[in-house]
Amino acid sequence: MRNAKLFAGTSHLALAQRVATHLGAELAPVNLRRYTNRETTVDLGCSVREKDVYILQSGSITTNDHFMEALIMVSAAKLASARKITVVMPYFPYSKQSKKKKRRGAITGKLVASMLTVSGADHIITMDLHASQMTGFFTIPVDNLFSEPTMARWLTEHVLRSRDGNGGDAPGPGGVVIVAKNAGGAKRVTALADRLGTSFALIHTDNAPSTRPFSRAPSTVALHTLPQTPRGPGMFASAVNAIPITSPRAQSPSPLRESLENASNRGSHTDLDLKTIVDAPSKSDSPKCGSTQGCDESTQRSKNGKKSKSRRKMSSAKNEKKTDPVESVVSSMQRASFYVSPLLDAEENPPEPEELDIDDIGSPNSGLEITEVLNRSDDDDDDDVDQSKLLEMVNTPVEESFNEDGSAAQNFEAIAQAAAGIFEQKRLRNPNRLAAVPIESTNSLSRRSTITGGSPGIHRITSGTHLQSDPPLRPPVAVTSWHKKRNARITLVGDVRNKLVLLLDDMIDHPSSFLTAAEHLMMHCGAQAVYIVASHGLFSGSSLGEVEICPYVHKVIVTNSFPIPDELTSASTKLVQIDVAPLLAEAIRRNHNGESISYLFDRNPW
Amino acid sequence: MSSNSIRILAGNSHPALAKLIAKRLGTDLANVTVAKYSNQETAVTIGESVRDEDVYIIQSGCGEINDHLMELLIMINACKTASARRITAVLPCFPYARQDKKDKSRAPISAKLVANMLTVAGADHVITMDLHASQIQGFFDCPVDNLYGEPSVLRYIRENIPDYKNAIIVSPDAGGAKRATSIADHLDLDFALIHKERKKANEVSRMVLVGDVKDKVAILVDDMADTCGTLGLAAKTLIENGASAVYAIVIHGVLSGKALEVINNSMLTRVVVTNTIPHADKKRLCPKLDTIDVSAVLAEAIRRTHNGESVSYLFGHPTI
Repeated sequence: MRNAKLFAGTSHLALAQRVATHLGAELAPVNLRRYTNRETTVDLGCSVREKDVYILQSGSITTNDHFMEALIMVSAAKLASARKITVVMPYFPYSKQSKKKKRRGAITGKLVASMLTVSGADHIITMDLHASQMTGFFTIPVDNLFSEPTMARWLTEHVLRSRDGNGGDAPGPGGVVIVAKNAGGAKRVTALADRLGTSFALIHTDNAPSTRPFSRAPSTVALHTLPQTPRGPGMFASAVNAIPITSPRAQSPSPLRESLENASNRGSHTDLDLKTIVDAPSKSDSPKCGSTQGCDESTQRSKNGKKSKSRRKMSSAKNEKKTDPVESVVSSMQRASFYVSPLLDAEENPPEPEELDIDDIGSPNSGLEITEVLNRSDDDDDDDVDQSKLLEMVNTPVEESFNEDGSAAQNFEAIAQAAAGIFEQKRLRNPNRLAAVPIESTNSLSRRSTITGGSPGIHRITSGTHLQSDPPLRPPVAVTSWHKKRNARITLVGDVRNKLVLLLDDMIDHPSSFLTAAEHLMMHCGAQAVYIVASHGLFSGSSLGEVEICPYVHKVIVTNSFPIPDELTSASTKLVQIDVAPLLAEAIRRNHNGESISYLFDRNPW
Repeated sequence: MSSNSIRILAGNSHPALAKLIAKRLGTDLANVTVAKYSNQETAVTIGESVRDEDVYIIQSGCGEINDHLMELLIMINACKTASARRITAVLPCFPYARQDKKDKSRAPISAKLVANMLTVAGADHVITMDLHASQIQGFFDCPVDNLYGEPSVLRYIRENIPDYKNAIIVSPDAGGAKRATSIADHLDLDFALIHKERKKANEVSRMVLVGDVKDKVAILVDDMADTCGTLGLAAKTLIENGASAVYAIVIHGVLSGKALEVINNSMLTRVVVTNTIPHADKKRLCPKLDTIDVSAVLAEAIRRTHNGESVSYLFGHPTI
């Protein structure tokens, strides 16, 4: 390209390199460094005077650093008399925060847009914005590219038409159904369904009122029936008692209601001992029972004998990875909590699992945990509802609420004990690994949160490694998916029976909602297989590991707009990354030559 | 709390709603003359002092939409130059809200333009209702309160639809699925989705129903009904799929073009709209129309904004 320079930030060099190759140009030299105080400094290594400058920087795990870097690069180019500065952001950071989340929320997407404009950018190229309205946040032109044509072609060639789709015959458009995991994604799904000529369906997760007292309509259970209930975790406990009264659905005698009534009759959950916890899930015949393995090895083995093979294979792929002993303890602790919560869900449906999260949030060194919790909520179906809820929770002093509500505290003790029990078994099996950690830490509630709070994020990555050394302890993942939406009622609108499901969304980070949806589709709706399809694959923490172990998901297909570390991609057998470098390169080329970009909206550039 | 008082100004778009709001706030509408010169330029005269007052200008985006927008801008500007302390534009129906993204190549984002115009004219705050996309809030540099008609709709369903417990909430297009599911959640009902393949704007070709509506009362929920072509076809689709009756509840009833004819000839039992847009005369021509009054929500939002109270309370509670 004449008179143009393509610079790359440090966020996604691999993609930048590919884009440069497609353009037949070299990446312009730039020196990006950090001062010791972590300030970023930029040194453009060539003249940009009267040149068109393209700066490629995607959002990444270290979003703020990379965004700052992009701003500084733009500013540097501006000061160096560049003629026009175009920022290419395949994944636009903060794009999920594009509207006020009900109350006092910031529209951070708009702030980011303003910052880019103020720094001197003249043009933005991005891809699959979370909400296309975001183009209106800018006062400069924005090209919002669509990965859909690229995606559709890949799906046509490799899923609809090929024979390697999970070993089966090509399903063809008739055998594929595209599913949205929440109502917000319905439009996206219908668009792709129209393009591929397939049918579509919609999953709706209806959170029972007790799980969302802070949503748009706080008029639900908790506030109406219990006006004096203190805000915060305590109110969930009371809300349990209230459910049968107000929820019309609970009028009919249902196991849920019975269990709720039992719970309320007892008043406290002290009798919820390890035994009940172990027994409860084995009644159901879903692979949920895997979670009991820590307690009852033999049952577990027989049940999961078939699957263990594949799991071993998977874990062997990861076994080179080193595991820090503390991290592994943390991960096991996390899993321990996963073990318990779904069981409670099945048996009691109490509010306590909600408090598992809160416990983490409220712990003294909780700053980092808050980040993690919010991350998780990122892929919630209705982010506005859930995020506002989470934020409220973050601000609630937890210890207090526990004291207010004895049953909650006691029940939590039971959970902690169960966790400790599982943990103890694990320790005995594997003494070396855990030697570094004081055992008593697992018995105490506060200790637990301290540990969890200590190393957020990282410990989740190690969970895959963990499995290998410890086969009897069973997959946390299928379980993690439930511990979030305990009181959720999942409904599928549409038909997926004996079809290949493409579970579509615009981005995937923590996959819990995807996994819950996949589980529902496979277990209750008779889907043949589930592929997750998303434009942006963020996969923070151990997300990829969780997808990997989840038996209900067979493939996860994303573009390479967001940088995923190589060691993660190579360890995953299910991940497929579709290259969007040609699309970006073509957009840059057309932009530079003053050609129409809209050509790319429904066609493949090559 | 400021010592200044509320001044409600009304444009020509929806005087009835403005009167209702003023009545609820226990004040009168300020004396404003909005007229046109013979060359069709808008002339605004503010008949009383607004110096240091908290001014609320009520103007909906409907009818002669450009004239009304221009009126609003000129009124804002007149108040600004007349030293009003704060000017809040109250737009029950935000004009140009549907042009909120570049959905086609070279399409303008007119909603952003309107936002800029309001800000430039001197609006310090905007109150609106059920924006077509909440992201429009981000188009502004001043605070925007996006009120919801949902609580009022929920109350209407509970009170006015017989046997609503046997109903199913249906979204007439994929984009409105979220709204429909939210209502379905609150009423503890199932929901279904109609997907329309659109060839041209305001023209619907084929409809696919996803979900089971057999022997149920279908309640179509949408944020805006313009020509009602979608609603008419959706009702037909629902009846064909076994729905026992079809209601439609829409926040902004633009009802332009052949809308009334379409509704009268359709299978719809009733079409319910809020009074963000005047439709008194249309009601006479179309007996199936019914109204949800949202003046209380707007009045309460104005009162709360003036007194510095939280507006988010209104998101979940219907006002009496």
